Amino acid sequence: MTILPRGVGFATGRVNYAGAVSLRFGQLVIAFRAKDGVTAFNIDETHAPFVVPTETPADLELTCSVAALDVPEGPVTASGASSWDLRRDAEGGEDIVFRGGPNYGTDVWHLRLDPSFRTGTLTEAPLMPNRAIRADGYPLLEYVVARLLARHDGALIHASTAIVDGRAYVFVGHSRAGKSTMAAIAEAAGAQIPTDDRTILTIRDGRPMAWGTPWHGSLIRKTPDGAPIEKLYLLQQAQIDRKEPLSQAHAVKELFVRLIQPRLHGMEVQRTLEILERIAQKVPMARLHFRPTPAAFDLAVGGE
Amino acid sequence: MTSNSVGAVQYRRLDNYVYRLTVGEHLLVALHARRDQPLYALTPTGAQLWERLAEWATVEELTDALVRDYEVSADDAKQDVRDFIDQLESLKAIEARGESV
Repeated sequence: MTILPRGVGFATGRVNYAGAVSLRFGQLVIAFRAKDGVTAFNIDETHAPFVVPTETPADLELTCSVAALDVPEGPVTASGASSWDLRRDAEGGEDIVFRGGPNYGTDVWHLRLDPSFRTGTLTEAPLMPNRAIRADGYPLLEYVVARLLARHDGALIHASTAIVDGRAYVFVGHSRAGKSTMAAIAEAAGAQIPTDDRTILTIRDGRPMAWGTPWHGSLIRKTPDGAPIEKLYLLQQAQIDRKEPLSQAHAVKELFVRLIQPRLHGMEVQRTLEILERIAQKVPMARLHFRPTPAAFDLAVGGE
Repeated sequence: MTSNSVGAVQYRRLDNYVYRLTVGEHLLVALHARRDQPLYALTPTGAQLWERLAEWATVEELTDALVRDYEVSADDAKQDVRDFIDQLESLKAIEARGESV
């Protein structure tokens, strides 16, 4: 059993990678390369399962360094509360400054994405004593993955995923909808749980897929595993277990409002909606009215 | 600007919303992450007006488009256009120019 109540967890260690590290999320690979070739990267060990060989072809290559931030000037295009500011230039390139520390008061990272979103630079302010670059920094990494997914036929959504007999059952819901609860019940029933909070949805070879992520939730050991999606469920706690089929249009809307992705670019929104349409056309979605019992998971996996 | 400001006033949609016809529904999505309500559903008529608002248009021109394409009286169409313009203005989805009369 690897799921603990929300707010309870083990302190995890950090892992260093000299000169380069690549991480895979769903079918997306992000490569971090030290500008000087030797600076180390540092990630939480919960992210270690997502590391892939550095020679893996990457969708985004970031040249990274530790240096004083040269924060760009000019009007801010969009902000994420107090944690980041984005400036978009006329060619479509973007500069994003991420803040951390108390009340997000410190500029920590400057991410520069070229207009293609295939290359960029990442600068981390020299705030840490070891001068290693935190490749998993929050909200940096999750933000980058969410933005790239929108350009690579994917989406990041509030959902837990249970894999049974090689097929994924995705449980969608906002906070406190019961995603981790259902994941715990599923794991007790023998399911593999790659994530209990944030799932990546993609299309691979025409088939909708669900993938694990390292972020949030109560599950300690998340994995990058993925599987074809068998069913999508919108969680709703109730007194009686039952399934209520949703129309494709309803499914698209319910999925869309539970995405993690920032809606910053019209093209990304169009592509995201297209992916959700394709998923909804191929995979049935239902509202799962459920009590937190094994019977509800049995109903989700097969029962009527 | 209100729905009473007609006459020479022209309207045009802004690029802070994305429209898409998705599995039979006309959706309007608000760009930028922190807007509480990101998704709106348009009627087919609203979707047609949204498309028309890619270019500057007056209430009268929008009304004419509805009367031409639907079996609706000019008075009813104008009221629908005014209501729709009001809603878009409240969402900051359109801009206006010109003099009200």
